[in-house]
Amino acid sequence: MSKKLIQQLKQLKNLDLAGTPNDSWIASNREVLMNQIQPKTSSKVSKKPFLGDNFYYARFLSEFFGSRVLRPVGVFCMVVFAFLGYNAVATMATASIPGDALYSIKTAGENMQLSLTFSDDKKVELQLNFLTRRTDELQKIVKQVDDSTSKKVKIAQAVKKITSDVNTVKASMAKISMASVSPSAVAVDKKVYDTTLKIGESLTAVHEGLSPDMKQDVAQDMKTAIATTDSAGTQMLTMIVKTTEVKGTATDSNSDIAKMISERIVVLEADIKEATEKLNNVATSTPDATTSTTVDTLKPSEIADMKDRLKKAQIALDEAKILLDKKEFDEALKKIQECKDIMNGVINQTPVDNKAEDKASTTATSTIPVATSTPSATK
Amino acid sequence: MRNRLAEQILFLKVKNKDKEAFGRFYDLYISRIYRFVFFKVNTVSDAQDLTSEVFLKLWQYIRDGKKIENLNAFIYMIARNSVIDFYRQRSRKDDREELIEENNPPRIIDERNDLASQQEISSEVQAMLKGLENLKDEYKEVIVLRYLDELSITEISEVLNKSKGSVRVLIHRALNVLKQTVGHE
Repeated sequence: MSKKLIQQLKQLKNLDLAGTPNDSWIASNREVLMNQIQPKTSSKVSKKPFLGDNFYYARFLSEFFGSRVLRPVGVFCMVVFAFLGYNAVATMATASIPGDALYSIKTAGENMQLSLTFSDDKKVELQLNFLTRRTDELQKIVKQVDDSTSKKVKIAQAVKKITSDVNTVKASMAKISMASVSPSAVAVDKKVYDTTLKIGESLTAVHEGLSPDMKQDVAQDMKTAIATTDSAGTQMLTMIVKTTEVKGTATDSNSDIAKMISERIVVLEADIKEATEKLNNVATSTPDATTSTTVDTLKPSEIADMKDRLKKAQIALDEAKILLDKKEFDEALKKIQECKDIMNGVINQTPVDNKAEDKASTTATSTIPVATSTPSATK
Repeated sequence: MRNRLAEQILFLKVKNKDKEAFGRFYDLYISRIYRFVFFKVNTVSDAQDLTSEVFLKLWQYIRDGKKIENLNAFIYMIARNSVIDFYRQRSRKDDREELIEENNPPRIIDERNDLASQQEISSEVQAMLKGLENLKDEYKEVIVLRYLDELSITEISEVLNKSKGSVRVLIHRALNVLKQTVGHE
């Protein structure tokens, strides 16, 4: 009923009876009106906007979403667009490598993720994930970057970042171990240990795969990174042993620990063997252009001294084996460390090549096995 | 939707003092404003004068850079105030207040057309016009604004300076009275 009434009311506007102005009056009145507004306003009338009609469309949208009712919709749309935009950039940033424009966004996102994580255990897990990413990035750089100068810079940058991240993990782990001795802490220790093994292996593989020049240029950074990773692994192993001792003997944990320690012994034994063989070769051969420059410059007395040290390293390692059999893990680790220190001393004692002073450490590393070599991560 | 958007863009151009856009705005609104005024003043000459005045006043507002939220509602507000001023001045001059009194509303008939002579107009429409004539001013006003000029409740509330709730109630009452007058079941 009301509908019919309303329809009839709407029809009224089309009837002359309901007050429709005369067409001629409309036209004449328009002319008068336009003339009236012309002279007074000519100076004040604004010019056409620079963007033309687009300006008005933009203003309309701004007013439309600025209205009280639609403001939440506008804000929601902005949030959605910002979220989608961020996601798009974040996705692109995920594939970035050091030196890329988006790399800082990637690291900023990681830092934000870390700052929003409050549990120490979770924080370490995140740091380990990021550390694995850093290693992947290093491998990408080696595969993707063609320009040698840029590649060298990027590799150095990535390796330094790995060193710094490993140190951060070490610091976090030290904090956790001071705070509590719990089964979860042992689990985290093991994760860190495994990750450091993998990273150490990756770094060594990347280093071995580089061209001789490149290998030499990044040797120092690489050596530091490998040493830091190995030291983190040793720290984790020590922490696992200590935590297990505090907790009491657990058979499962003991067998795991024994396995981890024996892996370290095997690697060190191989290093000692390799170094001894090389020293024996040098002692029995005549120097020529093909042999290592560093070893060539050793005097017979120095070679004898180094051999002696290597023997001491082997003795320490044998003692470690006996202690391991007795399940005296902590003491076994101390002996392993002693062995490593001796090996490092042997490397440091290696004379520097006069022709390439700055390459000393690199040459030493490539000639005598590095005492910081890591056992295989594959189990 | 497209027309609505075009109208909104036109409003923005008018607010930006675009003379050409103001001309188009005039074309779009002249009939509506004339009808609105005519329903109140009842004579063609007065309706014409007042309608011209309304558009000129609107341009002066725009030119002076005064803030206009809703141009559609604003022009009706100017028209309504102009009619009030018109009766105020007129009452001072010749004491003819009865023209705006509720009990004696003006006839909504164009001087150019005589209702009786329009045989082709259906009896229903004639009854409707008569019903409108006899409505109270405020009822007539909301009916015209809502159903002839098709303003939204929000716009009518701005024109009449009333809350939206009051406008809804007013429209409801006006329709009820009109229904009774016209004789709808």
